[in-house]
Amino acid sequence: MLIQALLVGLVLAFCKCDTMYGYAMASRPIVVAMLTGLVLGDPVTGVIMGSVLELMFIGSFPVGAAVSPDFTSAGAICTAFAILTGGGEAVATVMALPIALLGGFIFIGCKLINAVSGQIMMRYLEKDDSKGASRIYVLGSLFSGGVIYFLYGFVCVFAGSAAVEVIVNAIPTVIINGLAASANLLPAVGFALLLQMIISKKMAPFFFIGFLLAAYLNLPTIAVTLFAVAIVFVIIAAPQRQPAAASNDGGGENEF
Amino acid sequence: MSSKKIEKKDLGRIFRRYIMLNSMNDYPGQMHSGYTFALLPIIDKLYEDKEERIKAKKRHMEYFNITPNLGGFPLGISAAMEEKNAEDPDFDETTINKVKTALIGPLSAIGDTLFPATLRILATSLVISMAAAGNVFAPILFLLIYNIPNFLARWFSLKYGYNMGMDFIEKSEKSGIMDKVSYACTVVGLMAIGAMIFYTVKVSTPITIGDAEAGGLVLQNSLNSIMPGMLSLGLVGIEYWLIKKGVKVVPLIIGTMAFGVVLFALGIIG
Repeated sequence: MLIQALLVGLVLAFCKCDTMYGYAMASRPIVVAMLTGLVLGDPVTGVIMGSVLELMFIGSFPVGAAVSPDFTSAGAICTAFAILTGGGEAVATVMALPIALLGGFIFIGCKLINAVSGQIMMRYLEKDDSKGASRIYVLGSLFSGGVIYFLYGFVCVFAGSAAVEVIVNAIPTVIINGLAASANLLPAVGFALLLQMIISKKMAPFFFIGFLLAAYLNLPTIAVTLFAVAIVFVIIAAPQRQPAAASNDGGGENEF
Repeated sequence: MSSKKIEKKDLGRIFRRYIMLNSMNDYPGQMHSGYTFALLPIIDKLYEDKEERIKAKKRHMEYFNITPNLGGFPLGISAAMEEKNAEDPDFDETTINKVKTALIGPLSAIGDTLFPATLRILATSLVISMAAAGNVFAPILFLLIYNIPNFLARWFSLKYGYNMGMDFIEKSEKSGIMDKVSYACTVVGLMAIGAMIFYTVKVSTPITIGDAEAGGLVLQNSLNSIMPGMLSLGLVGIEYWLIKKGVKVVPLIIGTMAFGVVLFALGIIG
């Protein structure tokens, strides 16, 4: 268990340091879970857990100052639980929220640590020492993203796997199955959050067109996306009058 | 007059540091440390006077926040303005932070729609069924789809930001390019989200009225014949309404899970 816990901690630390290499989305559950599966010798289960957790947290990404559940921790630790306890999807789903919430609280702590590092960095800047300031920035980033989350992953997996197995076995089957069923509902929260961010009354018809194309014609998402790109070109290339007409068509289909 | 100019290789140095822009965010200042970190090499190069140089470094430690993928615009603009400030003693240095702060709102609005919402969702939607089937290449494909545009946007935003300098805001407003990009992203994003909801939010009901085998009514079949995925769309509608009402995310997730367990136990959803 020690080796596995260390490896999961390293994967979590690497993925949490995503912001140090271009915010490349290596922190998303779909990536973290696959890597976790890989180090535990079961990448296939990893990627499957990744798809479940990714959908659970699809609407949550850190924007601005808001605190959100830490999906990266959930991606690593819950996948490890699923593989190590042999409990699969049910274990990952049950544990995802508590692990992500605790990870989110830890993130608040990291931001406070970063504020201290920022103060130290400021002191170097006042002394005109760019090298020192840069070093503080890199080390500070590595500490709050890497070291802290390494410890979180390590402790959870090392101390938690056995406990998780006991807890999950103690929960009645109907609740476990119910939780697995409600995991299928959770993407709705995520999508609602996304919509909230980008939808407006004028643009709403496009959302319904997308949904209806999938629901009635069973077009795969990629086909709908390609249609969307084509529609954008038609609307933008057309003279001014056209966009209004296009939205009206969309509205008509929506009422239908 | 100093002859020190920012060259392409200096932009490269900003770029290499800018990929770490949001790695040390904190509460009062958000990305201020990362922003300063990215500009340090060119500030060292541009300013000969020590006092001026220290002033320039400390100037960027004020609050800053942006969608990281578009952070190149303000970084490029700040670099161009620092260059001007270093060679022109009459330059009003307070404008450097004013311009950069003015960009936070509009660029983040576009950036958040473009990257975390549209591009990430597209990348996810294209690989999610592969991942669910256990294909280990799904995450790699996901990273490629997201990161090719991500890194291109970073480099070109930096380049254009530097080339346009202070005129950036005026020029981009005049050409209307921001509005077009934002409109295009919204259309593609919304349609992809619409389709993804159908495929990923799975709500169905096992309710039957009468004996299904003897020709009783299977509620889900009747609903499907009206509109497949109707319950999923309804659920997203309810969640959307609750968010509009001001319900916070964490209570909403917990509430949805509890609601799901209760409905499942009652045999209303399956």
